[in-house]
Order: sequence, then structure tokens, then C-alpha cells
Amino acid sequence: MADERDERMNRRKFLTEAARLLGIAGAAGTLGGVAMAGQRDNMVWQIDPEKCIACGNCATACVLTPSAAKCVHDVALCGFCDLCFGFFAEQRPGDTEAPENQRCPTGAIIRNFVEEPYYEYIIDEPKCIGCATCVEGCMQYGNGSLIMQVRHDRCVNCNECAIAAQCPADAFVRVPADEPYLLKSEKLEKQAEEAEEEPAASPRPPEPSPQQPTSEGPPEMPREAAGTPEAAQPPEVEPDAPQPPAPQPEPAPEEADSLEELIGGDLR
Amino acid sequence: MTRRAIALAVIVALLVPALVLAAERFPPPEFSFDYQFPDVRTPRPRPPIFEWIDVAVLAAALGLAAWLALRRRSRRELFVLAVFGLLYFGFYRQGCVCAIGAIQNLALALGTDYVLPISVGAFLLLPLLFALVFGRVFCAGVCPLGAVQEIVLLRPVRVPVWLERSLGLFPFIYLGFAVLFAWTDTGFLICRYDPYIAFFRLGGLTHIVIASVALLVVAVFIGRPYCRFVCPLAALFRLVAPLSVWHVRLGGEECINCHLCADACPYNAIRPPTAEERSHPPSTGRWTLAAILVALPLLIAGGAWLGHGASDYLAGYNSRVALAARVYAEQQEEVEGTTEESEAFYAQGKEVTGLYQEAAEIRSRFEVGSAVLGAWIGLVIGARLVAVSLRRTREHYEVDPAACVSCGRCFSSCPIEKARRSGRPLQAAESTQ
Repeated sequence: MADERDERMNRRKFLTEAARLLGIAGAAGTLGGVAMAGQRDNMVWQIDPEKCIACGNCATACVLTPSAAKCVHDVALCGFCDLCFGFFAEQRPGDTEAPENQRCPTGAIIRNFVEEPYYEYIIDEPKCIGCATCVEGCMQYGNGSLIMQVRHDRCVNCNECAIAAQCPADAFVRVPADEPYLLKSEKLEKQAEEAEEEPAASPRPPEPSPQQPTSEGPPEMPREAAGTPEAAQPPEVEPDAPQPPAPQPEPAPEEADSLEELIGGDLR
Repeated sequence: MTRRAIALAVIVALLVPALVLAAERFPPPEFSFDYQFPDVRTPRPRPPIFEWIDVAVLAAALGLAAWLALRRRSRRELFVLAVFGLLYFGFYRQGCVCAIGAIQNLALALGTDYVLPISVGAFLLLPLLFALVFGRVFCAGVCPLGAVQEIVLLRPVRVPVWLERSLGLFPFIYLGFAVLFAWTDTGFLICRYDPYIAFFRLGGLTHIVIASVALLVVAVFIGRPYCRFVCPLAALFRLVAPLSVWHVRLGGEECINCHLCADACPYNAIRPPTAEERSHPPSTGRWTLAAILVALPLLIAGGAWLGHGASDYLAGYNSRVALAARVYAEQQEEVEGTTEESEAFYAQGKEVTGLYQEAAEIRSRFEVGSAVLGAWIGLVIGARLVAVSLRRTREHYEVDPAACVSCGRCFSSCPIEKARRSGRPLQAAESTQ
């Protein structure tokens, strides 16, 4: 009896040892794989300003109060407008810098006179709560030089960014920690440099071609997206799919009048 | 009027480039003097060296925890180390990145083009490697979540074994969901529902704070409720720790079956001798086991079938899939108006077909993933049934390495250990008490 038991224990022992060796080999292999394929730098969160729609979630969704995402002024793009709609509210009693005329709820934008008719705008960051109201104004009426960015002196780099989980525009991306900002002006500079390097190439980045080969048939949703098990079509490219509505209305020439009316004065 | 005309002309002239450059409607002015543009402040994140310091601290704390639990066998010193873990990984590092959450980073790296940073990989694999050699020492001395619960456990109440075993299935199921959601880049469930992160940061989303406080109150009476009934990393440890070369052991052959250690353990991690719990003859057990082994493939297949059926529902949690469904409904005029999400998508000026395709890809991944998840859940339930029907023989009280978190509460309760420490034979040591 005792011998039999010992033998069984040996078998169990052998299996345990084998499993343990497998486990160690597996873990070490994964670690090696990570070391080979992984990257040395950590990733950090950032907002892609070209996707951001200034919805205002940044102010409330962050685990920090006030949010780690704040407004950043990408000055190189700024038009130095006299009547800046990042600064001034659309509807306001007057045109002074008084609080009731300002768009920012915390008065975090400083407006300095430079020379006629230019004004510079500086974000007083400690006051900024990341509500993106100014970003929205600048996007609608201006150059879009006011953008939302995650401030890495505040961000605690949550493994899953709480704002990213709520961002309606999927604008939060992981970027390498050594290039932690996505400024529009830097991107434009890079594009310009690339264009200079390749004189043959068009200086302007290629526009997305809206043309599609034509064919008939109503646009059909791939079943996965529609969620109906019956229409089990593979996700074919729908050539005739309805085009998405035009991108956010640029101020078209005919709209200029209404725009001016809205602004209620000169653009400059 | 001329200014108005100029303004108009400026707008028209700017429209063409404006299509390309987001919207540069007003070109930067040319100042009459040498204007200094204010700097755009771009504060850097923590330098990467700190990530490596974190990994080094993790490795050192793991080594120290193993030494304290297995060689020093000191509850007090382990507790001090746990408090250090709480202070460093909890309050100083704000709980991110943690070994539990790093499971998802690995899954995300396997499923998408996300590249796993080495430091994050080390955060997951070091504790697992240590568990493979020394048992669950990470839980005892390093994990900040474990430390919080260890500290607040003041009035331990014993959880019945049947309840412990049933609730103990949840971590495996949670692990499956977390991996599926991370693999499809749908979200990090473990991070989203981390109950103690709000505590480390002394603030957070309201519902998490409420859950956090509630769980802390529960943890006063029930030892480590998160570790035992929720933590997905503990599920991995449960698979790995039984293989460990060394883990916390008690008494051994000298055990006098006094039951004191089992009383001292608030986590039901010490198994009593089997003679006490025999209720039916071996033949009954054998038949039960045979029936379960036959049913196991059925459980797995059934789980896979159910999981596959739920894939559409689960995929709905993916933001891209949800957006595609919404945009499709809007295009078909099945719904009125737009949402913030769909407006943001239109503003991008991208093709709907691209979105539909992307959503379809994610859906097909969910079909595979949900079936695997279902099969996994079936396997987990089946394996637990097998585990409870296996006949084991224990002559003495034994530490279950899968459940033991190496907290060290039992060391001081064991008379054998006391005798060994005092250097006197057992009887003499007992008589002095």
C-alpha cells in the first residue's frame, strides 16, 4: 500500500514538475517576446486635435479635478484676431474684456494688445478647467489654434483613461512618451518639411478622393453592424454607399454675411 | 464697406487651403516689429527611467515578500511590507499601472497593433514568475489592493466553504470578459471597475467611490473580498501557485491536528484532514466524477454555443460597433437626429463604408472571442466540479497554495512552529503557556 502510494505521489510530482517547467518556460518566453517586440518607452494618452469636437467631457470625465486635459494655445496657428471667438462669447452685452463678455467660464484666457489690430491670447493654465468652450469657438469661427491637450505634468496616465472611455470622437490615442503632444502646428511643419524633401511630390497633401466606382443596389449594412442575424452578408465594400454629410460646414462665401451678422461686426 | 469686402475676400481666398489645413481662416499676421511668439508649454510626462525604478521596486518587494513569508516567517514584517506596497504602488504611483490591469495590456497587444511596453509586461510577468516559484507572495507584500483589505480586516467572519467555492468561480469569468474586451480594444473592464483606485487617488467617479466604500466596509468582516471573489490576477495565481516549488507550509508531518491554524486563517486557505469530511463511500464519488467528466465536454460546447449567441450583444459595447450601428440607422432614417458620436464621425469626413467594415471586423472578432469565452466559462465550471469530486487524502492540516495569500496570520498560531522557534520540544513549549 505504502509503495503504491509513493508511486502515485511520484507520478503527481512528475506532472507538477513538468507543468511548472512549462509555466516557467511560458512566462520566460512571453517576457522574452515582450522584451524583443515590446518598446522601451511607455505610452501616454493624448488628444488628437483633428478628431476633437470640443464636447466638454474632458472637464468632467477625468479622474482628476480639475481635469488633466486643458486648453493649449497653438500660437503658431493663431490669427491674433481682434474679435476672437475663443475669447468672446457669441452673445454678449458689450465688446469689452469684462467677464460677462467672455466665453471662458473661469476667465482663464488673457488677452493682450500687440499692435493694431492684433491681440495675443494666452491661457492662464491653473485657471483652465478643460471645458473646451473656447476650443469650440475657435474651431467654429477661427483658425482652430485653441486645442485640447492632455497636460502631462498633471496626467497620472491611467491604464484606461477615463476621458478616453467617454470621448464621443475617439480622439484619445496612446502616443510614445517621448513625443507626448499632438500640436497641429508641429504636424503642419512636418508636412511642409516632407514636401520640401520631395519636390516631385505635391506640396499639398493628397485630398481624400470621394470618388467610388459606381454600381447599383441600396447601401447595405454589413450584418455585424446592423445587428440582424438574418442579413448575413459579408462586409463588402458598398460602392454606392451614401456619402457622409459634408464635413463640418466651413464658412462658405454665401454664409459670410450671416457669419458677420452672427459676429456682429468686423471680422478683424 | 471696404473692410467688409476685404473680409469677404480673405474668407474666399482662404477657403481653398482651409480644406486642407484644418481651418486657417486668418493667416498669422506680419507684425511691424520683432514679435516674440509666446512658447507653447509642453510639460513632459515622467521620464522613462521612473518606469524602470518601478519595475525594480516591484522585483525587490517581491523578493523581500518571498523571503519574509518563507524564511523569516514573520507576519509583522510582511504587514510592514504590505503597507509599503500600499504607499508606493497605491498612493505614490496612484495605482497605475498594476499587475492586475497589465493582463489587459497583454491582451490588447495580442489583439491590436498596440505594442506592449516592456515595463508593463514586467509588471504582469514578474508576479506570475514569483508565484510559480514561491506561491502568492505578490498578494501578501506587494499588491496595494491586497494591502488595503489586509489592513481593514478587523472582525473576520468565516465564509462557508460551499459559498467560497461558488463565488470563487467569478474571478475566472471576470478574467475571461476582461481579456475579451481588451483583445477587441473595447475597454479595460478591470480598470473601469477597480474598486480601490478611487481610494488611492482620494477621489473618482461617484458610483466607483460608493462601491469602493461599500467593499471596504465588507472587507472589515470578510477577508479580502476583492482578492477572493473578484480579482482576475488571483484567478491566474490560482492556476500557477499550486505548481510552486516553495510556498507557505505549516507543521508538516509533525502536525498535531490542533485546528488552530485553520482558525487563524480568514481566507479558508487551510484544508483540514480529510477524515473529518468523508460523508460517502468511494464508489459514489467515483461515479459522480465519471458523470462530471462525461459532462465536461458538453459544458464546454454548451458554453461556446451560448457565448457565440451573445456575441452580437457583447460587440455592442465596442464604441466603433455602436457608432456604426448608429450611423447606419441614421443613414437609413430609422432614427431622427444625430448623436455627439455620429456628428464627430461626420465631421471627420470619412467614408461610412470604412466604418462599417471596421465594425464588421470587430464583430467577427467578437464572434470568435465570445465563443471562446463561453467555452472558458464552461471549462471553469466543469473543472471546479471535477476539483470538488476528486477524492483527496490529507492526514494533516495543509495550506492550499491556490488560496493562500501568504499573509502569515497562521505562523504564530501553530504550536509546532512556536516550539521550533523557542528551540524547545513541543511539550515543553506548550507547558510554558
